[in-house]
Amino acid sequence: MSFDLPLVACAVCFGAADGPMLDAARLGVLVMAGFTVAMLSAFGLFFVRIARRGALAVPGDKDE
Amino acid sequence: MTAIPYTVERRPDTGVNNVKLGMWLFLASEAMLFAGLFSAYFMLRAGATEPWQPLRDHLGNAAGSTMVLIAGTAAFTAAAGTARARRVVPGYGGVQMFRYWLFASILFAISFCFFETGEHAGLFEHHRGPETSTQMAVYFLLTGVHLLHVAAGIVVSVWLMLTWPKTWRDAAPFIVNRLEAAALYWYFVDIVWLVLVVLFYVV
Repeated sequence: MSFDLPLVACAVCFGAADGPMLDAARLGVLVMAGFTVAMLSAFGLFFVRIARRGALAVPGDKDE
Repeated sequence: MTAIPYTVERRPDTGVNNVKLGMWLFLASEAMLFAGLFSAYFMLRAGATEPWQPLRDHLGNAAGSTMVLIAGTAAFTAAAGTARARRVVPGYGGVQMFRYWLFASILFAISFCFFETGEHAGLFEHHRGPETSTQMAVYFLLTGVHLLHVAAGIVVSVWLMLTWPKTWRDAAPFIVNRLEAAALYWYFVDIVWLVLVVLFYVV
């Protein structure tokens, strides 16, 4: 069994740890992580806001 | 009217009513959807063997689409504003002005869909369909998903348009609230579109 063309496999598996493909993957992960951190921070701030406003509420003052 | 609390009035602890809170949560999930797609964009662009070329020859079309989309959102915002102010059309016996703004908004959004599908068709005609390159595949995916969001916004606007007479008669604040919540969605759709224009047509 022979191949006319050399097999082109994943650069990471073959030790090219600093290849452009890996840099691209890093960038993709960074973008996704950036969005995730921003979203989780927004949720965190929202919960802090709820806690603060809840603490300011008059005890026994039910809104329902 | 209804037993469900905080559908219109502001909830003290969150600072917004539950309808708008629900919309914000929905927009958060939408942002994460687009985050995944933008992440794929950056990964594929950075790893491309040949540099991606911005579609500068189509920048005029993109600018036109942008203006139409923003005009639609502005009309929708005006609809929410005039509904909140209970403004009526002068000389027409109390006809609510927000209906006309809502109708204008729908027309602008439909125009945007026509422009965008025309843009896609033009690219296909010039043999630049999604099968031709990774760049075009990502372009069609992202603009297509955005187009679906505009179409969904049109469906919501049409629903508001059709249901307004009874809702307005029975509970005007509810429809004002719905308009304001839907306006948040349109702002989100506009922001995503502006990012898409920069990523595909400018840089």
